[in-house]
Amino acid sequence: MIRILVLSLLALSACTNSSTELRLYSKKIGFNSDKATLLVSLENCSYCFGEYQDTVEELDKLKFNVVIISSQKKKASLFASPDDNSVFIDNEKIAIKLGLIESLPIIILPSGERLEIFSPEQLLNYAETYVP
Amino acid sequence: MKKILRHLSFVGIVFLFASCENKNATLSEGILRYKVGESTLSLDDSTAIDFMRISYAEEEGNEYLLHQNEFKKSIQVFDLESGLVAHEILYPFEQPLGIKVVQGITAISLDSIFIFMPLSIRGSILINRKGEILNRYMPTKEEDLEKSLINHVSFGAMPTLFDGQNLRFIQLPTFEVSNPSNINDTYKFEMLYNLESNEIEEAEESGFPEFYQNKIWPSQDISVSRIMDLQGRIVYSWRFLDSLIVVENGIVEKMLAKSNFKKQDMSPFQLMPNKVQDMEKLIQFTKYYGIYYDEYRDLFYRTVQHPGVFDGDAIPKEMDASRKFSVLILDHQFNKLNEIVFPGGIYNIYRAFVGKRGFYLPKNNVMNPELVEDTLSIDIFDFTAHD
Repeated sequence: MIRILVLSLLALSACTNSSTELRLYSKKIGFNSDKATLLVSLENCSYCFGEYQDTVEELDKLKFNVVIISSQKKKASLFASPDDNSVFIDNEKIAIKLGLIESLPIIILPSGERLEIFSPEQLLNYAETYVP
Repeated sequence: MKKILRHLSFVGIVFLFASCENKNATLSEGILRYKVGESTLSLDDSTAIDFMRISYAEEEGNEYLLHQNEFKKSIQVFDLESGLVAHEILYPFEQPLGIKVVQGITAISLDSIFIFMPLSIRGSILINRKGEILNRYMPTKEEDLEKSLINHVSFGAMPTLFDGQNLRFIQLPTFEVSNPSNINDTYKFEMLYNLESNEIEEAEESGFPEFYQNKIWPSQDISVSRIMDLQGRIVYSWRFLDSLIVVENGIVEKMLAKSNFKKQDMSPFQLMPNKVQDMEKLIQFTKYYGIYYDEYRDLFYRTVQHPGVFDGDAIPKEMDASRKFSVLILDHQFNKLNEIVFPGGIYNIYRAFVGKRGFYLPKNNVMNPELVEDTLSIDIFDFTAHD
């Protein structure tokens, strides 16, 4: 029982840290952290542009923020047009510095829970399941 | 499958690395004496500057750089003299016959351009300058999906080459490379696809060298660069090996091609490293990157990455981009002729290529303070300029 309690506390604290980081990040980038947020890094994922561009276009931006991490503004804008409402560019790669993303795309839910994405199909599936 | 995707993204991490530093760097006399030209490519609003998938071609004395534009789904043929797009080839991208995501391109000429998809040789196509499919390659399908996956690179210093009969792919492991028992001679890094017989086979000589075997190495440096010369010799350059492995008519020879700037050998890890330890070693040690063949001068160039400064809070790509590098110049018998040191933070060592005028170094280093996204500058060096 104690073990379960300790594990629950650890899980809770990890979640709290993630949501704190998310809030910090959302302030810097300017998005609403009450919405689910998709992070896509074009910095260290060589195939993400071609693989996810169409699928990201399909996402319902009323439910999702999309943040594109890239030092190249032009490339990021070609991937998805920034609108300062639901699509943003992280030009300074803050998400990488904060450890929010390594290479594969990530969905971060408002709770701080992180879902790593392995394929466009999985992205759509997660979008349906977690952000109905 | 997840493991494979992680490895695939790791390929991205390694090969998307650009270079950086030295905000006011000016090239030293030692470098400038070999600089013979500059090419400035004009990039339109739909062309990003990273130029990851490129291939050089010559036609009627003119030089071209082919660039796969993933936004336009086209091959842009840049004239290296004018810097303008001479042709734009729209390739088929609609499934099932087209290629949605491109892993790499290899131009034999402007009318024979191979386009490869990730993780598979099956489905590769050959197009001409009109974008028409000349051939589509369908080697026999393995029943086991994982066995049929070939995690080939096909860009940078690991291009796919055509040797007249085979397409030669360099692949990267999808198994756990931090397990030393996996680092053995069973796995081969080069795969040959015979266009006539439609069969795929391994290049026997492309396994881990003895030096690597049964040890733990920085995971992102588990790769090999390879080139072929006009005699048909295959030359493998391993990151931590001073010698090149040269294969000629099935005979394997080691040829010493050590950098003057390599002061100590890379040592393996004693225990499985964490990510920070892995990155620290990746940045701090001297290692070799690419091997290139200059058919115009019958020379080999071997690029060497000098030790960088590791900072646990910095972005790995930027630390890597900041390091100096050198180019080792070797004659056709692999005698060392010279080694030229370049500053970090200007050139993108991962996008270097060879052409008629010598060794071409693009300046799309992510840390280059002069970088602007609508122009790609390429400096051209002829290391025989003062012979």
